[in-house]
Amino acid sequence: MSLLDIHNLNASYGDVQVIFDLSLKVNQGEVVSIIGGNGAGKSTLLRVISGLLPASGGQIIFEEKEIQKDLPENIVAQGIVHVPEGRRLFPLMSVKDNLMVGAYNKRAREESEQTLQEVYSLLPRLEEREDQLAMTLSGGEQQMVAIGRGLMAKPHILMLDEPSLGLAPLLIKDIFETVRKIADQGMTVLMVEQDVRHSLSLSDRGYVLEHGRVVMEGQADQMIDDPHIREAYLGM
Amino acid sequence: MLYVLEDTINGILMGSIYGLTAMGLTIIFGVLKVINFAHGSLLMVGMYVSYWAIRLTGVHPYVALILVIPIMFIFGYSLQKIIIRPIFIAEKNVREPVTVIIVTTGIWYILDNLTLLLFGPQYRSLGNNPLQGKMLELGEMFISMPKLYGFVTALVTAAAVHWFMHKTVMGRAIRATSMDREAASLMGIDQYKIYNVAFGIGAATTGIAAVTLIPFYNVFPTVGVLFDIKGFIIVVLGGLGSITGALVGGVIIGLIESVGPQFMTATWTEAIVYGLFLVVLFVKPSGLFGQKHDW
Repeated sequence: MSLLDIHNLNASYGDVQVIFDLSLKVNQGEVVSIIGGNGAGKSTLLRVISGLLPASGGQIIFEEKEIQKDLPENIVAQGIVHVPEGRRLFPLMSVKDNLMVGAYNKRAREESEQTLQEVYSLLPRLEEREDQLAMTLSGGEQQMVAIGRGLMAKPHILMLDEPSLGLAPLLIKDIFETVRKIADQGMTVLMVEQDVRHSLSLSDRGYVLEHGRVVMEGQADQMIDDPHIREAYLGM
Repeated sequence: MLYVLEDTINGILMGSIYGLTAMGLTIIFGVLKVINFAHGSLLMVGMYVSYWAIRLTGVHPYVALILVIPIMFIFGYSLQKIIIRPIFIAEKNVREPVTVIIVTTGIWYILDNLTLLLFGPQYRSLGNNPLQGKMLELGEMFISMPKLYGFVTALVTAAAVHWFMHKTVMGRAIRATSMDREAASLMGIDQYKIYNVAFGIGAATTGIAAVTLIPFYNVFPTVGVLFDIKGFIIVVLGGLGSITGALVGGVIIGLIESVGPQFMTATWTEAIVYGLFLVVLFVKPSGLFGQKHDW
C-alpha cells in the first residue's frame, strides 16, 4: 500500500474541468516530481489533495484513509502539508511567527520548539532573520521560510508547488539542495516543477501531466533521457 | 490658555474612550474583512449588560468587567457562529462576501428593536455610583474622573489585545488568517473558528468600552448609533484593522470635539471631523496606521 494513492481523480473550476481521471501514487520515502507546462493541472492537483478545491470524482487515499472529502485544516492534521505556489507567507509577521504558525496543528504544536531548532539547523539563514518581517525578505529567503513553515507542521508527506518559481539560477540550486537534504532525512516529497532537469535529477519517479491527464510516468533517471521529455521540456 | 489645556486633556481622555468603542470594529474588520454594521448595537448591548450587572449587584462599575467581558465574548462568538457563519459558508466562492454586510445591518435592526421591546425607549442612567460627577483637581483644572478611568482602561485593553495577538498561538492564528485565509487553512487553521473568536474578542472589547461609558452616559436602545458613525470615521482615520490606529483616530476626534468649541461654534467641529475624514481618504486611503498591503 502506498502512502498516497490517487484513483481516477476529477476536478473542475466551475464548469471547466481541469483534471481528468488522474491516478498517481507516492510511496513512503519517495521523491516524486510532477512536471508539465502551464495549465497542465499540476497546481490544481495539489490544491485538490490538500482540500482547497473539492474533487468532483475519484478517491484520494492517504495512509489507507479516504480524504477527498476532508477540509484543508483536517488534511494538514493528518500529515499532508502543502507549500503553496508563490510562497504565500504571512507578510506582516516575523519569520519566526510564520514558522510557529506552521506548527498550529495539534500534532505539531507540542513539539514546535524542537521542530523549530531542526528547521533552523537545516536553514540557518532563517535563524539569523527570525525577527524580520516576512515581506522584507528576498524571494529565495521567502521560499526557504515557506518550506520551513511546511516542515514545522510535521508532515508525513511534503508537497511543494514550484519552489523554484521566479528565482535566480543560483538560488534555484540552493532550493533544490535544500529539498535534497529534506529528502535525505527520509521525508516523502511530492513536487510540482517547471524546472524539469533539476526536479527529475533529485526525484525517484516522475509523472508528466498534459491537459489534466497523466501522459507519462516512470523512473526519474529514465525520464531524463526520454526523447519526448527532452524535446518538450528540456528544449533539446 | 488654561482652558485650552483642560479641554485638550479632556479631549484626549474622551477620545481614547471613542477609540476603545471602535476597537472591536477594527478587530472584526481586520480578520473577517467585513464592516460590521451591528457594531453600535454591540456597544448598546454591552451598555445594557453593564447597566444591569452594576445595578443588580451594586458593585463598583469597573468590577462589573468580570461579568461583562465573558458575557460579551460569548455573545459575539455565538452571533458569528450561529448567524454570520452560515452566510460565509454559502458565499464561500464569492470573493467579496457583501451579503454578510447586509446581514450585519439586519442584526443591528433586530438588536435595537429587541432592546426597545424588552426595556422600552426610556433613558436609563446609572445614577448613584462611586464615579458619578467625580473630578480630579489639577491646579485650577478639572479633569473628569470617569473619563480618566476610561483612558487608562483603553490603554490597558489595547496593550492586552496587542499582547494576545502577538504572543499566543491563537493570536498568531488570528493574524495569519487576517493576512491570507487560504494559506492559514493550509497551516491547519479552521477559518470559521478564528472568525468566531475574533468576533468574540471584538464584542468583548466593545463590552469594556461600554463599562467605561456607563458611569457618565445614558443607556437607551439607539445609543449605539451615536457611536457607530464615530466608530467608522475613527477606524478609517486610523487605518482599518489597526488597533493603535483606532486609539489615535479616537483621540483625534476627541480633541477636535473638545478643543474646537474654544475657537468656533460647537456645531462646526462636526464639519471639521468629516472634513478631516475626507482629507485622509484622499491623501492616505489606508488611514494613518493602515497597511497598504492586500495580499
